[in-house]
Amino acid sequence: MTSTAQMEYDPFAADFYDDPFSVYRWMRDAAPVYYSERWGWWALSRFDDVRAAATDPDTFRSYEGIDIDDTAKDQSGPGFLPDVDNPRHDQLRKLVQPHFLPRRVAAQEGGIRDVVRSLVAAWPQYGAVDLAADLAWPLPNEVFFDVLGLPGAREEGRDQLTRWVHELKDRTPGDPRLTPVAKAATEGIQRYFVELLEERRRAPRADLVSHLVQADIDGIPFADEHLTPAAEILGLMMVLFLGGVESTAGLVATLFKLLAEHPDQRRLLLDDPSLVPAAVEETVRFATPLQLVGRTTSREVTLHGVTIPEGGRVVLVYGAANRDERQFAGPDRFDVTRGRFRHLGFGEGLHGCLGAPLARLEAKVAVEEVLPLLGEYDLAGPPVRYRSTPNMYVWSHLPVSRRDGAGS
Amino acid sequence: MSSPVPHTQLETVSHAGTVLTVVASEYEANVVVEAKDAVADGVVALVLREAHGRLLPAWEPGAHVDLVLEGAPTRQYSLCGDPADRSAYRLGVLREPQSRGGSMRVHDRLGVGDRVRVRGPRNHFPLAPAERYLFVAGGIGITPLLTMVAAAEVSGTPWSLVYGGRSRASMAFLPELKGYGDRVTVCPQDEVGLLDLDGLLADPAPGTAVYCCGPEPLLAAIEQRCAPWPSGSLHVERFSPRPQAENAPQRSFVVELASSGLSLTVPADRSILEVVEQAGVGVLSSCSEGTCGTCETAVLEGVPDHRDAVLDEVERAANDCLMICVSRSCTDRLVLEL
Ligand code: FES
Repeated sequence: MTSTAQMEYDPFAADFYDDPFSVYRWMRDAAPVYYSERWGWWALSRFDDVRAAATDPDTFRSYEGIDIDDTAKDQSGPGFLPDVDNPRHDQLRKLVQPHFLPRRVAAQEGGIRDVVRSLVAAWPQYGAVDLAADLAWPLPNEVFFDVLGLPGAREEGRDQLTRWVHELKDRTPGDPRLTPVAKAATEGIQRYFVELLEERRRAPRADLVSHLVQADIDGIPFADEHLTPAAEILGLMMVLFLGGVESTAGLVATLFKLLAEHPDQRRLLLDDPSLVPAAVEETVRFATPLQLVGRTTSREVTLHGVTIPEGGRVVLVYGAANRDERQFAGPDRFDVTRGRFRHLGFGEGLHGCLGAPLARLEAKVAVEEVLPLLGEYDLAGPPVRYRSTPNMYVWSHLPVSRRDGAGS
Repeated sequence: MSSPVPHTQLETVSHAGTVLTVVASEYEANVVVEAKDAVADGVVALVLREAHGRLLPAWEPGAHVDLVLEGAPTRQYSLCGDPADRSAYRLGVLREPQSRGGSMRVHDRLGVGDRVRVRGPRNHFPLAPAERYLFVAGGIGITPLLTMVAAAEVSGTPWSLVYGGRSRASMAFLPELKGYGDRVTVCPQDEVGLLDLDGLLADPAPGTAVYCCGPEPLLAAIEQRCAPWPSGSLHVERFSPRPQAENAPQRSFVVELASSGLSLTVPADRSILEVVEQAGVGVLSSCSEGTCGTCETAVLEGVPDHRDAVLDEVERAANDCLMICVSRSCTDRLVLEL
């Protein structure tokens, strides 16, 4: 229902993600170019508007960052792909794109399946299991460490890195600044990456890190001789690292959460596993892990009677666009039979998600492997939201209980 | 029986810094250079015979083979000998100093008695029956047309050939074409200027099939001139990679979607992706510029016109898939697994 009462869209509010969707609906209907007095930015929420902005990178630039809380860009720096505009963006993306082509990623399916199986094998035999902590997080962590060429699960440095990954995202609710914990983790990871890159330069392996440190762009070496945290290659490493884990963990946990909440849809998947890829797409639409990205206008833009000045900060709310009734029939229905369709859960265009093929594959394999084991499971307590930037709609705990007989 | 059978083999290709191992299942054989003759300034004709004297696979006018040279990029060359003679292949090779080295290798280092490998033949430029043919060749583009005019002659189909080049001395195979008399118009640029395409193609002639092979500017010009012609009149062959999608000539064609049972026309100014989506068929895509690989779609019939930056040469040549956000069709009809 359209509410005429004024609402506030404040993704920094501690309780915002308890129910973002009614706010989104109000924005789409009553304030399609929403202005936040509190934060000084505009927000787009209708599918067509968000899509038009996402696919117009000349007008909606990225140099101020996709995170709306990190204006100083403490964690990103140069080379942080989502924040880079052209022409540099395309040069950097070309370095990594070959590693993320669907046809290339498909070759990792067997390895991903093995990871899922080994995670499941470590679960307790009976009782509850935490599908976020014991599946959704370690899966992309493992896969991504492997893709990048970071230390394996039992290698030195791994535990510290894993801890940093979480600490990077440390935030105080309601506060857009990095906490001291997040700052320290950022520095720790950067230092670690510098060492790793130096090592791979000396002794290259068949991994992405070695490829990056040896790469050149039009004849100019990509990695400086003396690497510092301010080097472009560090920014690129950082985004691969940050982008590769949290959003995929979010996708996998959300999928299992939604299946617990929609037993009829789960039944469909149990009966017909060929629906799994469609269920993955629907999850990305219905509860988009990356809910929003920030842009900055390079010229004045007038939309729906509202004028955004040049240099205005604009939030593209993917999570709202993906629920737009102007685009989707029954947008608030979680429906695993929609097949393949266009949504904005991975963005689109120039900055469309590099890792989408890998995320899709990991989520598909996780469901194919785990759902038949769990069968008709129940939530064993309220899911706990992951403490992160307001961009993200992700779970840190998702306890579920297995019904009798399941898992045998 | 003597013909070597197609075999499966593994090979390593590199593309944009990525090394892939691919399974190639296609005829491939060692051949020996039997003759190498200069047939014009900067053009040599190679005659290749199977290393053990076996017959080579049969081919039709318009076919090409890959010439695989150690340490140089694999290049495609049209067969320009007599299709009835299966004991040898003849290729015409232009020296292209700016190219990536394959032709330079042939010119400077390859000698009679040397062994090379050929792969194929494949034909993306077949001569379809027509009432009349108009052949247009630019420079080394004469090679596939040479066998086409011979075939047209044998079948008794009326034909004419317009052959342009920089200068008479640079134009290969002129003596062979002499015998056809005034059906062949030779147009050296230093004598008569550029080909008069407007004069040639001004009036669409239903029933006439136009076959053109030559450098990219000629192909682009001819595609533009033939736009008002009945669809399917023009057939072109290009070996050099396409210019960037936005500059490339576009023409319309039909896509048939096998699973959805739809048949859709893709107009010159729209992509397959746009047309398919508009018809309500769900597809995944992201970059819409042929770089991310998300929209890869299987091809069941027809020959795609690859314009993406995802597939390498070997993957392209397989013609079993295409990126529907930018790639188009060489054939009038493309059947997709959608
Ligand atoms: S959508 Fe990226 S290659 Fe087609």
